[in-house]
Amino acid sequence: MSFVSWQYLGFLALIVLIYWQIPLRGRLTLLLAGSYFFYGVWDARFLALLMTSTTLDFFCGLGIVGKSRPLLMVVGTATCPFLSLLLCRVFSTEVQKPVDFWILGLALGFPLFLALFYRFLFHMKEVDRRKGFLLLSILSNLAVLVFFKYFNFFAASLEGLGTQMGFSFGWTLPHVILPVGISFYTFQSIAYSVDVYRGKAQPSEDLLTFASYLSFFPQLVAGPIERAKDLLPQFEVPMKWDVTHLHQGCRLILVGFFKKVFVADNMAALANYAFDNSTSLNRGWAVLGVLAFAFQIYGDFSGYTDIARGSAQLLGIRLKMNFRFPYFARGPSDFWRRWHITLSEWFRDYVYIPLGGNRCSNRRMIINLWVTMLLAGLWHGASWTFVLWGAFHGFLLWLYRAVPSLRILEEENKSSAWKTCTAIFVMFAFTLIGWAIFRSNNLHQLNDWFSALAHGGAGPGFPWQKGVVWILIHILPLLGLQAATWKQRDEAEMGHLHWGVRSVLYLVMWLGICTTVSMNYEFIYFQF
Amino acid sequence: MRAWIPKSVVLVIVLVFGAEVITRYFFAQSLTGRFDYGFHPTAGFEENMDESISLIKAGGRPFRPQTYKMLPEPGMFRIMVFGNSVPYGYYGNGDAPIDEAYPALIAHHLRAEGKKAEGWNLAVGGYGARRVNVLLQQAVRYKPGFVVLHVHLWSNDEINERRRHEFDGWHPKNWFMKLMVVRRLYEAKNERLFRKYAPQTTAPGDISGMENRRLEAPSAENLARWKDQTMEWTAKSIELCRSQSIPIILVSQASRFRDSTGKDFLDEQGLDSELKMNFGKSAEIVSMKKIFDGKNWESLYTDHVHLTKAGHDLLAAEIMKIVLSSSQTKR
Repeated sequence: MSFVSWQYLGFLALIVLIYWQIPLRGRLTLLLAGSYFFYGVWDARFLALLMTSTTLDFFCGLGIVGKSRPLLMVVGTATCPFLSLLLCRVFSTEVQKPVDFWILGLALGFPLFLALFYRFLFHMKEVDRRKGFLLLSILSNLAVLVFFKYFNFFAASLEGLGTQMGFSFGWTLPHVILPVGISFYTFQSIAYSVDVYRGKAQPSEDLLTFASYLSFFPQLVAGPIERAKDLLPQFEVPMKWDVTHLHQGCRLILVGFFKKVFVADNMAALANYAFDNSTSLNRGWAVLGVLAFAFQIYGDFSGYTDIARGSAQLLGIRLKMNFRFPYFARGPSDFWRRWHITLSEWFRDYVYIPLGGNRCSNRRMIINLWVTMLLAGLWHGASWTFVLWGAFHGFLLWLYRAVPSLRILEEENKSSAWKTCTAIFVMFAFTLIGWAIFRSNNLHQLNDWFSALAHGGAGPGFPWQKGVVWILIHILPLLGLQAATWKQRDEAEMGHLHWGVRSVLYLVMWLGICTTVSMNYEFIYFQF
Repeated sequence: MRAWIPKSVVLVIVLVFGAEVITRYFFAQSLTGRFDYGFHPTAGFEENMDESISLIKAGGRPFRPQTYKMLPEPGMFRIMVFGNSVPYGYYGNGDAPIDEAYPALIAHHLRAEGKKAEGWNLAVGGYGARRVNVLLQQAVRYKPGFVVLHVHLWSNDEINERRRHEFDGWHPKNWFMKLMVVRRLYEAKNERLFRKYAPQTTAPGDISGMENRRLEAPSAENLARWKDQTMEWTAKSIELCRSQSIPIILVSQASRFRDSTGKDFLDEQGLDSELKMNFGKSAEIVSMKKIFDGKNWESLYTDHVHLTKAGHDLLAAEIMKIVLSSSQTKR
């Protein structure tokens, strides 16, 4: 169910209306049922994966701190994914594809697998048990992620390599469907287990609370990637209704719709045209296309996050901010503190720092940066362009450390206005190059983009100068909104503004949404 | 306790309400309405105080801007051409000057023959036989001497008709669009900005949803249905013209297609024989395929559908001959 649909708004309104009328346990049940419905509308078969992840991490979290549960409960809970798949098989339709028997068999084996490990790990020493449960959680989540997200990619790459070397594998590979949001909820699960292991979060002792937390629909499919210590406690105490929940929630949703519908969808018209395989680029279109994509992806993802935050706020739950004026970053480190903040923090806390972070030799630190950024690139999708994008950002992080003039540009203290502008401009130019890599469908298209930028080209029929007008029409209102909210360091916070100014902003955003020609573009980050 | 509806939202509601009242009072007449999709009773003909008529737009899509006298002068051949983006004068990557499209060129050729003539370009991009009939119902009031219907199969009539019904429905997605101020702004953005400053090739525009895409796909099933609909509505248009003794010329559109070997060929998708069979006795039929065949026809197209100036000129010359040879012209 897309956030930008009337179905979602109806669904959300219904959930909010019921939510505030019932006690805590009822609310959690409602949230869980609502979240599973929300996810199941896309493809009910993959609910089994979500349930598997929930079951594993719930018992692993408890196992890490040495709290055991009856084996019957473990087995019973672990049977839920199988039952879910069985229901999908029984009620399969043309739209809802049936589940194969071998998958059902695999799901039936899961309770046995979990029960065996559970018993086995509880017989180990405390240190080993803690590590064992942590590893079980991390490896299971990673295995699911790697299989569903990267199987096609690695298999195709291996096949391509083999063909080049004269081998023929002669296999017919199954096409693995990428479940929506898998990258987000598996990362949230891993963060939970690691935080419990490190003692930074208390494990949830209630399965309903934990399941509601992990599957919370506003942030289930595209984040923000929440930490247990921030989000889980909000599920454990009953929130009291306050009309500010309604005001803030609606405001966030309005801002999110504005960014997605008015900015991102309108920018997509240009970006898709420029990066369409049949478009012959000239220099103007190469720049314009990537500029449009920069605002498309920003509006798309930050708009999604705002709608997610707004939806959660209507339920009295606060989600983390994911974007903070990212195109005003002074350098790559600053950029990653502003862009997809929760993912950056995840990679910092669970990859970069465990690798050694900054507290090691310069050479080692550079390697750590590159490894982290390569993985961050690969996280975005199974494609060489994403890997290259990650490597490019790793290179930028190194470059800003290695070149003194760039390092000085990034430092914020005592910088003059022109220096700030230069820093922002330079980093924005680098960001655009990164987006060109990210947006290109393949390396060949990327090569075309660079050669159009360097040498020019014939160009498509539509003049790029007209596209500039189109971009300005949609970017200027966005920049106006950012200027109004700049001081609050939150792109959707308007509480400090005079109510008259807020009215104007609301009106502009609402009219912007209403007057956008219907495009029906899906959220970009749903595919990650 | 804080109010449920904050002051800022109240102000927005008041502003929108005020703007709505102003729009309904001052601008309602010019709102031909994107969501009426050419089915609006006034269909974009704006009658001026000086007895002239301006062609603005039909159903949210623009006409070529033109102004004529409401009634033709004595001895004037008023030729009205209806159709899609081909007679409209679209070049594939932008609009051709109106004088280079065949409706104007017919009049130009007639004037060269010493006749007083004007060629009304009433074509609108994407229009098919159904909406042409709606336009024709309005246009006959201005006494055309000849009506030329550019007949083709693909149009987005069906989708827009569907959208029109949807718009009248209960769904909340249409609630805001019932406000004239929003509709006005939407039209302004769509017509003045979107179609001018954004490339149209990748933007789905009016198309929303799988069902619409299915309706637009050139499948065999759709082609058969389009053919039936085109014949049905063309028959109605011919009947209307005959009831008012207006001679009618049907132009069957031919387009470029590519076969499996990559070779281009010219085809009218069976329209020539269909038109001849159905309307051979009641209208003159001009086949683009017959006119272009044997010539260097590839050079007459800017893309797979639209014509170059030379293509328009050839077609106009052929239509002019029919106009001249018809009994009314001779009289």
